[in-house]
Amino acid sequence: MIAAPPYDAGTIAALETQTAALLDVFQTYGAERIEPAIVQPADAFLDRMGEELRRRTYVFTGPDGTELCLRPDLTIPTCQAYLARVPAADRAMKLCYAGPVFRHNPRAPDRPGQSFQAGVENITAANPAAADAEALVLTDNALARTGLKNVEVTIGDLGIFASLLEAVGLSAQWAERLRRHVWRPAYMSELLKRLTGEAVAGNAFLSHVGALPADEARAVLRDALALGGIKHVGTRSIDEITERFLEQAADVSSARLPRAVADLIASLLAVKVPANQAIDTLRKLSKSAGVPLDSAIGALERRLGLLERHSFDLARATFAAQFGRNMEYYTGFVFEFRANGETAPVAGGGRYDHLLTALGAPKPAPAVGLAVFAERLLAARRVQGSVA
Amino acid sequence: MSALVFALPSKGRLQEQVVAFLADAGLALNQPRGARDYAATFTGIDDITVSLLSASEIADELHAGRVHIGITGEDLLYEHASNADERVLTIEKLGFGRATVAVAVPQAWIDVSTMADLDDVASSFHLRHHRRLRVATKYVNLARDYFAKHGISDYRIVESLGATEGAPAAGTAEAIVDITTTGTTLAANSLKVLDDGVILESQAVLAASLRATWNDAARKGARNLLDRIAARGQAKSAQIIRVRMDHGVEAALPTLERSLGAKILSKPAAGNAAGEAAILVPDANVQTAIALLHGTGAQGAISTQKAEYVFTLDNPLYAKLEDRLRSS
Repeated sequence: MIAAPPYDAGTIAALETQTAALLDVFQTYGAERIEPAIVQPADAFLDRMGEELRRRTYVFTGPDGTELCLRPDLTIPTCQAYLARVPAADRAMKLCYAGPVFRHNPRAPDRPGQSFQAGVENITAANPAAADAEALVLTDNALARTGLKNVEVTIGDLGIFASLLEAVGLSAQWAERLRRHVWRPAYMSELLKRLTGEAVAGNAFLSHVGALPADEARAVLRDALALGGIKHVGTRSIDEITERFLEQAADVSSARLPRAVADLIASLLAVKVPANQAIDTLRKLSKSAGVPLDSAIGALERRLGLLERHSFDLARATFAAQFGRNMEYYTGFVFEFRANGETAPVAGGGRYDHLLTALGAPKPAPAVGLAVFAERLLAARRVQGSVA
Repeated sequence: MSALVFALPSKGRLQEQVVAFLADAGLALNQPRGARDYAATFTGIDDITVSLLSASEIADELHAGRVHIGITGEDLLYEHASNADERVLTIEKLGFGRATVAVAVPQAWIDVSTMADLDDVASSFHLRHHRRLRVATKYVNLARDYFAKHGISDYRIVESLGATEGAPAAGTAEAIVDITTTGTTLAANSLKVLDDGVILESQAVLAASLRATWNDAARKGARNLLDRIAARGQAKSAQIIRVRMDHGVEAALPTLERSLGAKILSKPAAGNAAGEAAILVPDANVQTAIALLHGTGAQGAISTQKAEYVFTLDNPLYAKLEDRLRSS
């Protein structure tokens, strides 16, 4: 492993000035500065983030045998800091941070495994729509303060897809399946084909068992396992297995989606328009397919309206329905900022309503956050000539 | 170090197979300080240093560029670096040390036969048990890549350093990714491989490091090593056909080369109809080649013979290495 080259004096000074500018904007907004520890117990990260991020996390064993990691992200430790201070999760709080995060890049193992981030977490704000709009505007202001110009903004909303799945009346299993794979276009169209009955794999046993009353079906399956001499090993119970088997059976006989609805899902995912046309486009789609999405579209409309009230020009932003930040904890409104035509964003953020509960909050504790990627921002400013 | 460093497995069944393979190619291992010595040479060859390491270390050393050429399992090469193809060139698959790296779940999971099923189960398992489904494996990278390819993210890997197949019964994991040769160990542990759960059909390979220092001495050593292996390889699966060069035989030679994979080893000077040509033909095509030669009006007897080694100037193994070194 090759050590990343040290930052030169000019870069250190530029990063420090930039961080100070960002923090000043965050603190003026009312966020309190905290600094989570760099070395963190690994468990919370590994449980929350999934293997894709785990493979990018530096995990090691401490001298006392505990499993530790270099923080790969600042949102989780910031949320933990909130819960340490407000265990009942019943008080709104804005926290901000600036410091290094550590991520290994398995595709380019010689690249530096660390980078600087500065960000804000706005936890249990009373008005979520307002908090979402503020997070985007705050990011925009912070970037502008550093002198960055011509930023491209992308907006997405995971809530729209979620309510679409609810509105079309899919089984829980199918809705969950589509939600999980929304970011994989090829597989999505395969799933939609299966749903419209174009590619159903016939399984006589499944259809037969699926047609039986639940109790009888369960008995048939138990007999089948016993007859096959199949020993049951592992932590997944027989009930769990038969239950899903029956769900599958029910799926085979009932998983049908009208073509119009499947087409709506596909065309909705394909929506990519200037943000000031997003509401019209979505309403038209929903109306022509006869699937009501009023409350989800309304929620997005409120946020876009609030952005305009903050003097944010919606023509500057693109709404992309497919855009969902493939980070598992986002649940609603999401956004990213880019500059100079680069694919890697200089900042991003979004709503995450389930993370705090997963980290131990005793009641629902919705939150929204943003993070600025310091080295990328500095590089973009250098390209634009606003910093040496 | 100027000579070529060639790494071989130091123990186990794989070592026996590798030593036999090399001996067959006329490369006799010489361990001056006894069988437990980790440095060796080949008798009569002074530009190759042999280093005896564990198969797993060989994969690491190839990736790091500390050895030039090594023999190890594909499973280890791909497990030990996500960008293995940028670091290592497979010169030849050796046909032994075969095993399959696969995803297996309990047989009692009658509702699961594909990766898509496993994806559904992983997701509902998380909801129901408030923790992620665990997958025990020592192939952490292969497993992650394969699960990512199938869009499965709701799981957690539990690293296992032995007896992985016992993890589900022991309650330390729900599923496994492991190596299997016959499937009997899996069956004995009441596990089954998913229909689309085969991650890698692995075998022993002769591989070159693209990160090693390839100076003239190393290239000379590589040429020497690969000449012997290629010579044996060419001889092993082919026969030499000898035929008198009368009538249309000369004209038939290009067809033999083009459509039957033949190689003209030697032929008499033009116009010397009494001279004999020697043609190397893959075993499977020998009868077809003879029929074709008879069809052209070959008059004399046609004989075939098995060679021990066939050394040719163009060595496909070394050419492959040279090509790749030039392009990277």
